[in-house]
Amino acid sequence: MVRDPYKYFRIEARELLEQLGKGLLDLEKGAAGPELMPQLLRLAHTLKGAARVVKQIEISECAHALEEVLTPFRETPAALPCQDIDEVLRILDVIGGRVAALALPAEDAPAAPARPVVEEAFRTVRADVGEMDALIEGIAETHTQIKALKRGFGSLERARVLADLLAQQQSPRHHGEGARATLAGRSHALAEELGTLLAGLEQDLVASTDRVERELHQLRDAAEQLRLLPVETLFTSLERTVRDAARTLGRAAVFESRGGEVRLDAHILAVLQGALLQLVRNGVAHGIEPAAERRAAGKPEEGRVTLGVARSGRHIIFSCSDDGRGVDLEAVRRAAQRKGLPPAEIRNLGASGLLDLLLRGGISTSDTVTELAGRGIGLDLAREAAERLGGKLNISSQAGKGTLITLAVPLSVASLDALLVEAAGVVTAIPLEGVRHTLRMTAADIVQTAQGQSVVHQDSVIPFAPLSRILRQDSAAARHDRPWSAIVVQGTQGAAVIGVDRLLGAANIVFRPLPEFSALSAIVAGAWLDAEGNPQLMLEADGIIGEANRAQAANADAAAHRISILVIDDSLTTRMLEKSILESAGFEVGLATSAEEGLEAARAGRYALFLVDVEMPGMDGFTFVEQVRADPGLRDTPAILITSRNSAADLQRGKDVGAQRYIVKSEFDQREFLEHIRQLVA
Amino acid sequence: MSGAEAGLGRTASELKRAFDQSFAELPGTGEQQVRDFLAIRVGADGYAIDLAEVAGLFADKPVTRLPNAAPEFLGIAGFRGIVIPVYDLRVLLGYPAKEMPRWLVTAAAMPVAFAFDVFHRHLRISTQAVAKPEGADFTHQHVRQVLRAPDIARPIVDMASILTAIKNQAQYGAARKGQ
Repeated sequence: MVRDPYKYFRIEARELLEQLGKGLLDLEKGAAGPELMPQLLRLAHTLKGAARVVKQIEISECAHALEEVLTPFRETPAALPCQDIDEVLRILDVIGGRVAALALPAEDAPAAPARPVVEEAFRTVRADVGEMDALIEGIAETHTQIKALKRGFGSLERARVLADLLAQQQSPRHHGEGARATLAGRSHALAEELGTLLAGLEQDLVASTDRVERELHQLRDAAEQLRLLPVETLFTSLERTVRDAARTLGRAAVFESRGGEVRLDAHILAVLQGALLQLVRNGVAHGIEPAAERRAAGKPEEGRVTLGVARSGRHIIFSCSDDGRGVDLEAVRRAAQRKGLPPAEIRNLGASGLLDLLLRGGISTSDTVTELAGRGIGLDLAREAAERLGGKLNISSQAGKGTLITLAVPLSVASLDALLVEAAGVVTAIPLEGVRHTLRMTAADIVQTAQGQSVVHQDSVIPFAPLSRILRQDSAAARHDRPWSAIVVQGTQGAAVIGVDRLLGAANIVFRPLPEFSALSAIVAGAWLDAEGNPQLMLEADGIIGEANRAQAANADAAAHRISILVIDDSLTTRMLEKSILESAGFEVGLATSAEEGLEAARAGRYALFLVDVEMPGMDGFTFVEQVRADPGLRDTPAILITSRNSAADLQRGKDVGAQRYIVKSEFDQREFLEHIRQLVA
Repeated sequence: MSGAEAGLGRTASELKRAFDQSFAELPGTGEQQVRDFLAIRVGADGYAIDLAEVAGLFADKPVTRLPNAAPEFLGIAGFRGIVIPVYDLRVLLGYPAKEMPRWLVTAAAMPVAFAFDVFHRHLRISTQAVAKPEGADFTHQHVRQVLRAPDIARPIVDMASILTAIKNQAQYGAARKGQ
């Protein structure tokens, strides 16, 4: 591999530039102490020296220019004129550009498409020294424990010698008439010594192994945390962007942030950085009004662009808001007209329709194209980033009050606080943010209502379900009157009380999504590794609540007749997938592996609906539906065709033969699917 | 140098030459072409898995089940810090699933593991013993070849076909993501 001469310089220079930029912004806001200017000078000096070492004379000269501008204000940082701050920031940008342009060695150079520069910056994770120290101390401690384990080897050797001696004494040649009594006494003494030695050894080995195990567990947790970055890593560049945009447009705006301590996989931050820069820039360019206009509207002259970061279940929500004028809906209409959308369609669009249009891309509300706004690429970038990470973009706006854009992306790897619980021998984690209360209750606290089992908690009736039933691991063993440990889980869709066998306590866990090619579950947000390296489930509050409601409804319906659906598909996988979805929704399911078998089953049983695959060997799904329609006993039973064929002709043929619905596999949506079924069997 | 030392020296050089020679020769030179298989039991029947398609063999690995999963999906398991889905080879080959099987193989081509009942042994078989199934032989969609030697007859699990089915199912289920 070709050596990269700038590998460490890149890392150091980026860190120095970030600290310099943040310091200058603090200085400009007047938020700096007397120690800041000497610190900035030290940073500039370090950068100059580092650039010289790698023979980057231009960067070194730029750093020198920084020192020249800043030195006269060493004692009086507050006196640094505005234009000098601009000049220093400009120089920082120049250095940043040069650092980014430093050539990678040929073998390390990324293959096309080239990795964007911003993402490159996140390939190196900067670790907190304290965290690194803790890791190193942990490793040292593990070594100490292993040495303690090794001390046991000496005792083991002695034990072996004693065992040999014992064996020798038991050999027949020692069993002469006179020696018997003496030998018995000696053997007894040796055996006692051996027993004592082994007991001590066992105790030491167990204790040392436990300590090593505990230490290694903590080490792994610490190491996993190290690869996560706090979101605040992004804030300096966002603050700088707001400042520059406001300066360019002659507005007054400040950047505020919340949730910087949330730690995320560097990969997410890398993809989002560009999008967030655009969103805060948009906030200034499209939102914040000129000072006079704000004054007239009774707002503070200085506008605010705020980025909040928060975790919600398996998603991380970035919300970018401004207190500006809100989206100009008429401008969206005009832009849509310019794009050539039919006028009638545009006229019918309400506020949310127009905002959706804005999100769809290629439309800008700015009538003039400037350096900062007007090409409609801001939201496009945010939408692309959201799509790339499998997330969603949302926009809401209120005229005169401001705009809120939220970007929700699923977490890849993240650390979070969770409550660990045990139910039916299975340990699972529930995010602490979804836990409202924990309760101790008896069977008498569970009331049977018309809706099923419920618990009265703080004057509200909340559905109750044992976690083991939600996880489908209920061994149906009756709990009799044993008390329950219960958790009141709060989600966006309400609350539920979940009964568990034990509360194991709160823990910070590093969780990851379920691996590729796994079955998906609405209840499971992801997995985390326990001390033995085995994955355990991390549940999702909304999923738990949905399932508790279903369990409650299923309880209530238990006596009522269950609706039967016949699934006809030649693929075992599809049959089983559909069966599991339908059974979870409370339906009874019959299965057939071919259309011919399906016809027989349909005539023999009483089904409320047929779910039919189109492509099957022998009779296909179209023919099956045709035959059903021709059969007086079956003609009124609705049928849904499921297929990977999505041409208009196939769709039409489905209708022609008399299928009520036609579901294309690639567009399969579980909720819609169940909705169709419920409508048809109602 | 004494006579005894000289003799020892000769023996050492002969051993060294033989050792080097064993590395210089191409493996299998002059012998017939062979393939390696794992002989396993799935349900009540013996099967073979091509060793080249296997990344690892594990016993008694804990598997964490997922609620509401299809019967062929057993759950997830951890392999050196990586979480991998585990599928039930019994269900995929049309056998009824009972308790969690003891053995697992991880696939070489993608991060998926397969569980089965019993691992019998390693088989090294001439490539000529690998044949197409005949007549009423094994007609399962995931069996396209059989091992047929004088003392052994086993269907070969078609790992590629199973992996394709799993990939297709993942695509089918992808639309459910995010719900």
